[in-house]
Amino acid sequence: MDLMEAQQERMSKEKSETLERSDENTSSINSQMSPGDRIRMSSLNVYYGNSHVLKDLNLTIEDRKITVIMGPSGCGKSTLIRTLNRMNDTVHAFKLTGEIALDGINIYSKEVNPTLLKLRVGMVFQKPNPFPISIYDNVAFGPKIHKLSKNRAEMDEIVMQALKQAALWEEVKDRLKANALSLSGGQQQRLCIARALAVRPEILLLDEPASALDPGSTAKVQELMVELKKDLTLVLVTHNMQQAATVANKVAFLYNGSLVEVGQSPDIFENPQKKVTEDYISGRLT
Amino acid sequence: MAQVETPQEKRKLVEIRGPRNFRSRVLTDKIAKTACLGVILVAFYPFADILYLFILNGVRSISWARLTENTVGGNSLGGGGLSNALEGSLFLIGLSALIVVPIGVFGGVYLAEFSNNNWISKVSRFTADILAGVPSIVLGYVGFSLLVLYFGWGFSAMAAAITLAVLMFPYILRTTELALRRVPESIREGALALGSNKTSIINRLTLRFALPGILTGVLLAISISVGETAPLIYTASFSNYATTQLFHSPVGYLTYMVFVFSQIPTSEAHALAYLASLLLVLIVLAINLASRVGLRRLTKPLESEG
Repeated sequence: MDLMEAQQERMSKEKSETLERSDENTSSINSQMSPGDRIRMSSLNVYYGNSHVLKDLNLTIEDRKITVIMGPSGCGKSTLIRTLNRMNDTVHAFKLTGEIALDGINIYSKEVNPTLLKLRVGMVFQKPNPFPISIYDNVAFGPKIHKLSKNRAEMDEIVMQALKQAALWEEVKDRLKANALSLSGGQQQRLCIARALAVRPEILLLDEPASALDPGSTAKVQELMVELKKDLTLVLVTHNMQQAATVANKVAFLYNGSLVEVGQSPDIFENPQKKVTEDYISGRLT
Repeated sequence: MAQVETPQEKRKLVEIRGPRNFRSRVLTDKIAKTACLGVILVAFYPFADILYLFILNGVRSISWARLTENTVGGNSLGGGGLSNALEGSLFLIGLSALIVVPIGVFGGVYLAEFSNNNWISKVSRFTADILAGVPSIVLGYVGFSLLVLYFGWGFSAMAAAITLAVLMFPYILRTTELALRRVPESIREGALALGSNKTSIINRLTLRFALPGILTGVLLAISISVGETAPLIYTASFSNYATTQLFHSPVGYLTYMVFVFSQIPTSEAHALAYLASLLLVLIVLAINLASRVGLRRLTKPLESEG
């Protein structure tokens, strides 16, 4: 019920966005906000202590599209995606300047509750991290915390929906009480996706979700992502070119903490504008 | 591999010898293994000897009267039974565990989950480590001057239990912290990304999975306190009668009987000392077995395939 309210609130906000927003730090962004954009990063800088990890990024994430952030190891991809739902808040010496607006609201402003933000912006991690409890309890974990169901039947429904959405239902429907760790790596990762979907986020962040999986499982996760973008906005971090080319609508190439190039897929793969991008795509840059 | 080997390849395998020092390396390996085994046996011998002595003499001393009657006599002619000491020991263990377990566990949770390595956590870790190294007789003396005399509780169960609690505290604190730290960070992150706050992550996940480790620490601490004599002599004194009074009433305990009755030159006193030793060993054994069964039950849902 909370979610529905949030959703409605968001929609009404979107409409009145341009009128309301004259207050200090959000003004510049919202004037440029196009209707399809959900997240807008402007002059985003991130530091860990003295090291400057993300340098002056400007990027928008479009609604119900897959935005891929691509780049070599250590370029700041993970930092970037973790910044989008404030997973970095507790990291030592983390500092951020600039702005990240979700539907026009700066998610780092004081009014935003980081916990509720995570309810709207879910995340799936590189290594599958199922909780060592039953499959059912894994998926029900989020809904239980946020009291999204009134009774057992409703919870069953939520769990089933999430597992179906993550294309895992058929494989686990007969053993929901089994320990999540008894699943294969690929199934575990889809379980983690189901777990994230169970709280019905609007945006799902995926941090190299297939890098620890075998090719078959990777293909399944990729299919799943394409399926999910019907209902959700996805942000995918990967250093796997094929994966990026397969699923992406929009590709942002990140190198040494700077955004080198942003383009639509497959344009960016066929006609990269910058030399670095071309080198990376052709495998000369690692 | 075997089926594709040609005769030539086979010969090659046979001809291959290790480097020149290969034989001496094999020898060194064997010597090291034997030496390790030898050390284990040497260390095990006194333990086995002690155990044998206690079990043999302890079992010989078992009698209904000795188990159910109160002690007669104290520092000199020791006789009667040790039911007062057995009850007193269990009473003190229970009371001290009741005091220290919540404090130690919550302290450990604070250190592992909330402290972020701030100065409070550094100071408390340091003091806990020092406390673990303080001789128990010193703690006993502090308990005597502070609780028995200054607070005026007299020789009493409460004074003894608090002294034992102080003794157990560092073990419980540190094992709780370590057990919680062993829960992988990815689990916490996963829960955090679902919008759970710290308290619910601790309640629903980390504490649950650290529970076996925490329990082990608690039982270790209890086992250690079961064997203490010095701090109790200062705080509980000794009594020939069982008591449930918390204050102003001395308490008997098994280690006292081992310590004092073994020095009294009568065979009846020696029998009681042996029986007390046997009971102490059995208590520690029971705690260990209970913890194993408990651990298995606690960790079972983690392994089941359903």
